[in-house]
Amino acid sequence: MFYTITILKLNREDTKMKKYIAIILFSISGLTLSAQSLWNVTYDMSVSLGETKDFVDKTSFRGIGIDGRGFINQNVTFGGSWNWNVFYSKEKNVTLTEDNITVHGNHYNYGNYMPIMVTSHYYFGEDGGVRPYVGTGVGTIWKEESKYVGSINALLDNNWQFGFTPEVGIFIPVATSSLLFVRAKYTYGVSTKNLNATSYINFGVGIAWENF
Amino acid sequence: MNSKIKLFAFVALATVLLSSCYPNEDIYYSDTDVAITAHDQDFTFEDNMICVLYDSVIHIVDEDEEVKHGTHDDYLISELTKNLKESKFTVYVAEDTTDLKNQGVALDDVDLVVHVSIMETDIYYAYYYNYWYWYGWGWYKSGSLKLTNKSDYYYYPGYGGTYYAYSKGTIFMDMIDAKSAVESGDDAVIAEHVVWNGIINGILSGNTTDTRKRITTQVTQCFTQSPYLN
Repeated sequence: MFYTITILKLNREDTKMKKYIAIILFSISGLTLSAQSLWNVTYDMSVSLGETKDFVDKTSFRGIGIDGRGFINQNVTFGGSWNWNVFYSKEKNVTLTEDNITVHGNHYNYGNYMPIMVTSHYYFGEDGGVRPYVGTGVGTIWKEESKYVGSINALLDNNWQFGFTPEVGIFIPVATSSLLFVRAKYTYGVSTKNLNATSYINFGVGIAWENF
Repeated sequence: MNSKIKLFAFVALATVLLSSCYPNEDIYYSDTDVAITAHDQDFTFEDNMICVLYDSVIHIVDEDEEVKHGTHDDYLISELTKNLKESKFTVYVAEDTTDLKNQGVALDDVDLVVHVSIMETDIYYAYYYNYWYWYGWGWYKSGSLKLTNKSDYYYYPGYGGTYYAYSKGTIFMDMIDAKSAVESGDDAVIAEHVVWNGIINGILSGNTTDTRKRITTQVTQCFTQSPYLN
């Protein structure tokens, strides 16, 4: 379930920490307020890295990202983001032997990764023009990895993990209140005792709207 | 652009992208076939051991069910016979002990017994360990084994503690050390020493035109990945 992300516009003078905490809390609360904001939807293509690449070594062409951002001044936004990136790989006629048992069949690996982040970004350029940005997200990742050997479900691993998502991107105005949006985002989920790290980079292209 | 149009565009785009996130690919039945083999590493498979294949397939069904997957029984036995005869063993195919004696083989000389069963119940959890009830010749004349108490049969013979859940339509091929068989009190024979299992998961669950081809491929694969038999 994806919750509506709230964007708040705050006065530049509001610099106290409690205000920022309030922004973060409200950003995931499901409330919606009209303000100086950016909403965007992206199509994501992802490339696995590290331990994620060990599990599914194939580029993902299945992904979506939704995020909302609210400006607290001309150059800084706070907000929230949600992504869903699906990896899939197939390896035919694999024979594995462990001790006295040998298993032969096709291997199907599925990786589902769903980062839910609180974000902050810094923008270059002027309001109304082309605006490159850098930023990061901090939050949690829902991860589900499963492996099928033929029709046998040989592995199912799922859990939440702490993660972060540094990114760079650019907004390009294409019409009144509408922008083309391109970004590259690295997603990293911290490994735990029972869970491998998540690591992949995705390239998103989408559309953004100002001020819903 | 007014807010309603923006919202509509936003939701529409998100929906299209979300719907594309589910992997879907045409997968044929044969793509899901799995061949699993296990063997006793302490047992020596010697050349020219006398190996007897029971010539009927045992169907393991629920108490209130009839045999449904018997169409390919003869073909399965013929493929297993072919692979066994290409192995290192001296192979006989017999209906029962009388048939075996008529072929000039004394029971005491038999080293290995092989029988085939097909799981026709919903799901079959198997936990490998060195123990298996082997019902002697003739017990399966009816061609099926009724499961009156499933829990009695939830454990399948094997080794190493590997745990699987098998699908309906799975073929089990068991090779038993005949020297380990002892009489039990219920006219059955308990074989304490299963030396090899060949398992083909779910192959008979779909009624496909290429089932025989798949049987040939997977039975052969079980022997290919068991070099100690060849």
